[in-house]
Amino acid sequence: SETDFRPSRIVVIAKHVEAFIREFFDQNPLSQVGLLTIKDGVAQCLTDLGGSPESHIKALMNKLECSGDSSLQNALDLVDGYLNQIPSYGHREVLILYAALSTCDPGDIMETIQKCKKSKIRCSVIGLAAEMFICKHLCQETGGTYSVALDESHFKELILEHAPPPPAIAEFATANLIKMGFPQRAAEGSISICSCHKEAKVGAGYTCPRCKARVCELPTECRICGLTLVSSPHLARSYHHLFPIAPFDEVPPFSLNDPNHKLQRNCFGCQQSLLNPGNKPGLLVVCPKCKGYFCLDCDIYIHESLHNCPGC
Amino acid sequence: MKFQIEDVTVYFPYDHIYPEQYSYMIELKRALDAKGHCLLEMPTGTGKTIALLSLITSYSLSKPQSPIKLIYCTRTVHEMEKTLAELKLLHNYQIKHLGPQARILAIGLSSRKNLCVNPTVLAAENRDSVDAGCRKLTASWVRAMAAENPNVPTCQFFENYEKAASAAVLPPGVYTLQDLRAFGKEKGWCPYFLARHMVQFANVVVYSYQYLLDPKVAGIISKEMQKESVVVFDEAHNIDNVCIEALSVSVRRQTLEGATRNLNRISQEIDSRKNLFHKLGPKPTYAVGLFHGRFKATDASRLRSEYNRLVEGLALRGNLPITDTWLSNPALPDDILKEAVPGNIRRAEHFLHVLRRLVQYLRGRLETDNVEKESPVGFVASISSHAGIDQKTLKFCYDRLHSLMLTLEITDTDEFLHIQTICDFATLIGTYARGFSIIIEPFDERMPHIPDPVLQLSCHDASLAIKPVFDRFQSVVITSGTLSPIDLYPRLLNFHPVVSRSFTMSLTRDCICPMVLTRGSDQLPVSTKFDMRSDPGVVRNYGKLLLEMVSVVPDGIVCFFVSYSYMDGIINTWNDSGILKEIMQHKLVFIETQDVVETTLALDNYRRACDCGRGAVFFSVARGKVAEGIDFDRHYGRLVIMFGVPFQYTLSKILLARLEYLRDTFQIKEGDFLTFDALRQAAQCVGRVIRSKADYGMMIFADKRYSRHDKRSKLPSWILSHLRDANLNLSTDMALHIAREFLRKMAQPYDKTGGSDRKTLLSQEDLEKMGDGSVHEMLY
Repeated sequence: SETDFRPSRIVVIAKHVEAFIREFFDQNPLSQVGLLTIKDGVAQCLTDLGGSPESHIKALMNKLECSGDSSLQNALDLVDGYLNQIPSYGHREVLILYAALSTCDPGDIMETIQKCKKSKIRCSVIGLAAEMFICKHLCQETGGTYSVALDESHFKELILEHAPPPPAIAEFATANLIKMGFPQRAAEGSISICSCHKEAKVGAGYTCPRCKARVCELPTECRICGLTLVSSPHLARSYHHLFPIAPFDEVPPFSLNDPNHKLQRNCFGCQQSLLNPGNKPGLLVVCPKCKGYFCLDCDIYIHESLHNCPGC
Repeated sequence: MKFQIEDVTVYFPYDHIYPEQYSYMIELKRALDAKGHCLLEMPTGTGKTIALLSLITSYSLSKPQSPIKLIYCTRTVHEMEKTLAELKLLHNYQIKHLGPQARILAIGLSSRKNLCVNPTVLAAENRDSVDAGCRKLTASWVRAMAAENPNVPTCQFFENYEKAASAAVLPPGVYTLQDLRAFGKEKGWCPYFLARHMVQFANVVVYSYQYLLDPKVAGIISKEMQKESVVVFDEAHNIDNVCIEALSVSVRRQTLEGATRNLNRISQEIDSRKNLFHKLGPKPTYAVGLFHGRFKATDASRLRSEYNRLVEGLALRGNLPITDTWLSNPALPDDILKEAVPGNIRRAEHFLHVLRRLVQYLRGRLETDNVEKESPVGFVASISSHAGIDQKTLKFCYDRLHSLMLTLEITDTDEFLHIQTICDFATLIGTYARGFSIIIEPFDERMPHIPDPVLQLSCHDASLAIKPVFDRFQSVVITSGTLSPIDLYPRLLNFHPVVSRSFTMSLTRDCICPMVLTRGSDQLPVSTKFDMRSDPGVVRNYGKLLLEMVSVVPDGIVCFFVSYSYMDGIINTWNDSGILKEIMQHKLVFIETQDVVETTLALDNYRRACDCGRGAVFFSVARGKVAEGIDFDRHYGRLVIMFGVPFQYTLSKILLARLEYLRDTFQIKEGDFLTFDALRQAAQCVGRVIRSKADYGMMIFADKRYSRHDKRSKLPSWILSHLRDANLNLSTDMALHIAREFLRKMAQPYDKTGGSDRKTLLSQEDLEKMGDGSVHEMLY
């Protein structure tokens, strides 16, 4: 009924949730997402925890409707049930997009909040209209953030802020060894039956290193042997928040001309010449670990997208 | 932090100070220097209390040769505890910086009900019965009896306290009521009497208004306060009403019936003692449980010795043991005649006859069908011609009764409240000829079918009760969040303040949003003006307003109505038209009633509903308990709606008489006073939502009359300064839009210290850097 977001709240939210899901998987390729809806006083599971953005978005777009009271407690209970099964090395996080200004609960919500706190579920809320005490309380208790959107662009900003993972909390990070496979990309022309679509495909697939089955996309779990399949950039992107690559040092231009120094004339990343037209040395940086020289473009690419130094 | 204000080093227990606190202290310091009275308005949530406490204690520390005493008056026990807790913090800080010479003694004093530690006495349900219970155990004759007969119960705590005698002192420190009780329990001393004793020696005393303003209590408790005291009345916006109530008495049928019962009982007592004196018989068949069979003969002789004492004069209070003192004379100290009691009431029987005639006369006056209004002079003349009691006799009634009850050794004083009321009344009309009137109403005007005659002696002049306080003490500070218009108080209370200032609140963001709503969604004006209030259109528009608001405002909303009857009416109509049901879909609804327990329960559940996110609306009444004492801070009140202008019931005879008196004596126009009174109530109501700077809230004044300048300008400046011109004449839709925007804006994170241009927290360096000038520039 509110007309503050046009054409309607639900459409706007759905649009930005779609963007969020894509962004989220881009930033955290190894993570999984499940969608819940809260309406008519009950919470329903829209999609189970899963790693495929497409299936989530499809499910979301099919179910755009809102009605009745909302119950935060029911939602938290449901979430708690799902996230409790996640092994301890995973972050358990909830992002609640809350349009209502009240919650109609069957029991004591404070207990539920304590339960979430105990299972180390970090709850964050984005409100659409005004600050609600209970949401603030929930976020404070569980270590999440609470924000209220001013308008559509602000909402977009707020929701995308949640895409990068939060700083790991020491007590959460219990070390565990997990078996993972790093499949190789199959040759371009080869034809094989892929295990995910069950049909023959030409090229552009990956082969599981254990059972040699073919999968179309990474990251995934091998359908045949159950091995987690990832690629190294995925890992790097997922963990770059934990192990960021050190910033590259800027190289003063005169050292290039230093005759004692073995000059590296090409960028280690893109292999382009490091010299500007006219043989004047341009700005360049050096990785403190592997001493490889990079141009500024590669520097930005490595730090902001790749999170993985090709030299080291 | 510590800083200089002129020649005084101020110790302030926090690292930062608000600029308005700083200027508040400067003004206060000047008033203290001038040894004059002052009037200071500063919004709640800006730390008035700590500013006051830290300046006055620091002032007294910096002038050790003439230490001043601080008498801090609060309205409620809760405020008293809060004040003492802040003082404790301050005291610890001062000791940390100054060492042990900064030690002061600060105590809170309250009634026995709040201080008693004797479980048998505390079991009583109300204040009067706790007092009586205490007297039963501690009165001098009871203790004398107990000395002979160990079966007579006494209070162990009081006995220990008496035994310790002069050794029973409190070591320096800050004592809340809780601390006093704990200390009393630990030492086995009665905390109440200990506190009463220590009041004379304490540097800071925190107690209720009545202890200074009500002559009955002040005569006992505050008699020995030194002149070099600073008296602070906190939350003093209703001080004129407190003064008036202290000198007003109302007599109903029940009072007269009770008084007759009391008189019968007293005469029984007297007779029994008399007979006994003649017979000296050993059979105590008449013992009423008050006095136990001991030296009966002395009873009668005591009556006789009392007579002799009365001949000499009534100077009897000076040598009474502390436990026997009871309420003292209801008239002000200066007005009490220092002469012998008239001969016609010296004998107990004669006095009883006088009282019987008086009660009979009053009963006759109550049997009237018309409203009657009389001046005290006329009333006294009429008593004298009909009942044969002259003015002088009337004047002595209260003291004479007191003396008689002491002589008869009556301890269950709570039973005798009725006759006390009558004597109170008699003494007041005997003493005062001006500033009072007597109004007899055969029924309540609002319910003319139910006969409920009441005879009221109402005081019109607030300056009477407070005059002794102004005269006696060096400085009197009157402060509150709402004292606007600030020039009216000196006229009402008849004093000349050396400083009267109103401070605004320095805010990092505009966290209050006052709005004046004049029209409903259909553009028709809304008002609770008498000719409009029952208009269905107005009722519907008010309902629509609330309905729209509950759907956009989270958590708690508080609504104030002008009276209980109006609230009942409008809620009924909303219920019939289904609006209430729609409101309940968004928020739960709670309603204040005249029953305190019910209201407390409602408030409790209201808070729970706000806490758990369900959201709630509280319907309450301006001038009710909730409007005066309950805070709706943070999520407990995001919005307060004031439906209408809370004028007093203007047809009330008492109000009319008071208005007339104010016009004749102080040249205050009726309209001015009524508007002032209504607007201060409205400001009180809406001020409930904001109790600190980090808080935020909206205020809607829903009446077209608020948009008029004469009404609006009487609001406190901290509200006015946020009331933008654009928000002065709103309809429901516009208000709704503003509310949405405001709530969104307020939900954003903000910087608590404020930017460089609007500095709202000053550190010690900031204060040292700038002289007084720059602070003033910044504030105004």
